Amino acid sequence: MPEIDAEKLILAQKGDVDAFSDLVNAHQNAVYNLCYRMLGDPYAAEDAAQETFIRAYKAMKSYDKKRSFSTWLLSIAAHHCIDQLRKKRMKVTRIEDSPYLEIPDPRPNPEASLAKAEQQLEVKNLLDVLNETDRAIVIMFYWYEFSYSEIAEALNLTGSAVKSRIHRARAQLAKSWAEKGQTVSGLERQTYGSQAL
Amino acid sequence: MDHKPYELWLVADQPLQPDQEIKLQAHLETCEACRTLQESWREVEDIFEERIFIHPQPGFTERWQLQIIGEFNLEREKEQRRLTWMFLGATTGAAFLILVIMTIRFFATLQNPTEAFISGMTFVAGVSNLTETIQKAFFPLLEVFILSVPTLWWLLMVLSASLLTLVLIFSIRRVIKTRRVSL
Repeated sequence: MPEIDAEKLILAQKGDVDAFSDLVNAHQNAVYNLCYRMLGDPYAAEDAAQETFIRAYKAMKSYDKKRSFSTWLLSIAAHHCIDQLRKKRMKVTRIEDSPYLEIPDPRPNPEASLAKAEQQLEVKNLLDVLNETDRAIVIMFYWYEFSYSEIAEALNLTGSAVKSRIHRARAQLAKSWAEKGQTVSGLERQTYGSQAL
Repeated sequence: MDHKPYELWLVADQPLQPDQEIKLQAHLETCEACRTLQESWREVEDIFEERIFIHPQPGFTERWQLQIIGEFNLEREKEQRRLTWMFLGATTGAAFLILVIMTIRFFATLQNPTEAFISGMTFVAGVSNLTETIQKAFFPLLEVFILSVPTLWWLLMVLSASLLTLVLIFSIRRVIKTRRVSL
């Protein structure tokens, strides 16, 4: 997470758009990634990230400086995405169709890029298995390395609730992955069986 | 067989107690489903631990700035609309109040229209007589005043009045017009 200039925070709290723009610049990747992982759609993620920063700007006066700014920001983003997911079922978008998708890959190798894109699709499919809150917990835990207490603070849950939810989510993810693997293996077996016959 | 405790132990992020570890290993030797689950979880965790971050399209901050300007303008428009409705409400309320007072005041007169018409005509005639008297008394004085002031002064006064009216209109326009926020 980027370091926050205390002076910029004070200016932003006073409503200075330029100072807040610097905060947007510093946190855009973290917020966008969270929205993208939650919603699984680049356009919806862009809208949700923009909305997060607008809500944060409007709520800057109520921001407690003792709290981590990034945790506070990601908390707004997660709550907004949870609301969005509850409001409507998100349309499934194929990750390789996305014009916004930019997976950093130093190798100028189309096969490697395709493999990365496929892996991201796998991540998306895995996260789709979870309910909105569990998804936010898993994302904060793995992508942002938040502790249970930080996740609890961000999502207004208790530490024990986060712990039990994350265990349940892991078991769910493992089962889903195992089922998918078995289905693929089963299909492969069927295909090879018919060829041999 | 109850797989629940073993499933939770398989995905636990903290080391198990020695006795739990022994029980888990014994269970895994006999349970293929839990072995598959263990393998699956390892694969899922490997994928998650790569932690690839997806970035927004360039120009995200500029797009946000445009959005916040839009929000400011929207809020200002809402405030203006609210003030307009308040002004209209207050005016309508005042008009209604005046109407009620007038109705109470002239209720007795309205019950007899002929008498009301006659008293109205008498009032108009009275006003007309008063105007005529005032005209007769002040017209000669006004005539003297107009003639005593030079024509150039009159022209200057008319020009000043026109200028002041323009300044007033311009000021009102500036107050009413939606101000744009610049960054």
